[in-house]
Parts: sequence; structure tokens; C-alpha cells
Amino acid sequence: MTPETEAAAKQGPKKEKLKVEVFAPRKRKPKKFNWDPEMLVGEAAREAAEKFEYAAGNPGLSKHNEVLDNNATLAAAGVEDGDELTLTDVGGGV
Amino acid sequence: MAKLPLEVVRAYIAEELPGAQAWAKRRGLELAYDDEQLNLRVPLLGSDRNGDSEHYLLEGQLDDYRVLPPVWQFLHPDTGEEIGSAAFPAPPSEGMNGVGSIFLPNGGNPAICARFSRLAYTPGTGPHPEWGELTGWDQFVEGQVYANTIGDMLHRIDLEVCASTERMEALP
Repeated sequence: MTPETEAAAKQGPKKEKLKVEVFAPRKRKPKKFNWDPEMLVGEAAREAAEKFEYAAGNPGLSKHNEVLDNNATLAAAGVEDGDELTLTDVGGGV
Repeated sequence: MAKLPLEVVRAYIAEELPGAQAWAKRRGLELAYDDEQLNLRVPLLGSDRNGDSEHYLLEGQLDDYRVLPPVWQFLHPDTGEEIGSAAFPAPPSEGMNGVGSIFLPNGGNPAICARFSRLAYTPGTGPHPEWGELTGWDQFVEGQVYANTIGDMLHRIDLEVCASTERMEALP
């Protein structure tokens, strides 16, 4: 075993990026993202909000009309390759 | 008295409506917009309970938009009449992953309690007359729900309707 393959074996199987489409309720067309499954939902939401040029807010994501936990990883929140997600403001009512 | 000329309001709406209509199409919802009355309506469905969901009819009145936020309210799902609390979904009992509800019973004067909802500011009946000038409605306030286009408002309201399991009161 070479040093490279030994290092790779220690890291375990390489996790594939998730290819997802994100819709913003204000736009007609989605944007595509390749996200690491271990990325937090909140981080992904912030990246999407920036791409859609939201100037302010509390970005989150929803899937099948359910709000995902911003503090969970995409994988733990149930995001899968090929999913369609919607950018969602997760600020509270007042 | 109107604060904005109709053509200005219509121009704002025309800019945002395609996004809102695309959102509705993705959701399989029938969004109806009346350009003469500056009024939109969309039927929404509550959470599925044993194969039976509550039906709601959301209305947005858009006169003076965007100087003022829309007047969002729920109407009788069959007749379109104003019936107060019975038209409104109750706040989702199981919450939405820690996101606070915007449906406020408000002692029989129910309101969508968010800065994008004109009725929330109404002196006497609205829950937040202290918010003051309606014209600041589209400013972001940390931690509070923020939606400043028609599509974003519809999406947020719909998400919460989908999570709601019952009406505030039974239909008359």
C-alpha cells in the first residue's frame, strides 16, 4: 500500500457532493449547487441567498414544504442528491 | 387616499408576479390575480390529518404596494367572505424546526404577525401598533421573519399553513 492509498484508507470512503437545485420564491428559475453532505444547512442557505442576491434576512432551506434545521448537516437533514430545495426565511413571527 | 398612483403599484406587482406565479405552479396552487382590484387569492391546504386537510383561502390586497405592505388575510374557503378566526389556520402545534409562528389569534382579531402584513400594524386591533410607520415594513429586523417580495411572503405563509393541523375556530 502506498502512503497515498494508506492515507485515503484512513479517511474512509470519499463522500460525493450533493447536486441540488434551489428555488427562490421570487425567481422563476432555480440555481444549481454542489454541496458537501457535511455542510450545515444554514451555511448552504446563506450561499444560496447570496447567489439569488437576497440583501438581508434569515436564510434557511425547505424540502417538500418542511423547514430544515439550519444547525444540521445537509445529510442529517435528509438532503439527497438530485433534491429540489426552496430558499426560506426562518425568522420568527413577532 | 392612495399613496401611490395605480400605474406605479401595477409596475411593482408586474415585476414580482412572475416569480410568485412560478412558485405557485411548482406548488400546484392556483394563484388568481385581479389586476383591476389589485387583489390576489390562492387556496392553500393545511397539514394532512388522516387523509383530511383543512382548506384555506389566502387573500392579498395590494393597493399602495410597495409603499405599504399587502393586507394579508384568510377568507372563508368556499364563499370568500370575511369570517375572522375561523378562516385562519392555528399556529402549528409541533412548530417548524424552532421557527416561531406568524399566525396570531390576537384575542379574536387574528393576524399574520409579520412586518410584511399590513393588518399587524392596525391601531386598536393589530398586535403591533407600536411598530409605527408602515412605510418601514421592508427593513430587516434581526431574528424576525423577513419577506419583501410577494413570492417570498406567499412561500412563508404557505409553509406555515402546511404545518398547521387545525383552524383557529370551526367554520360557521
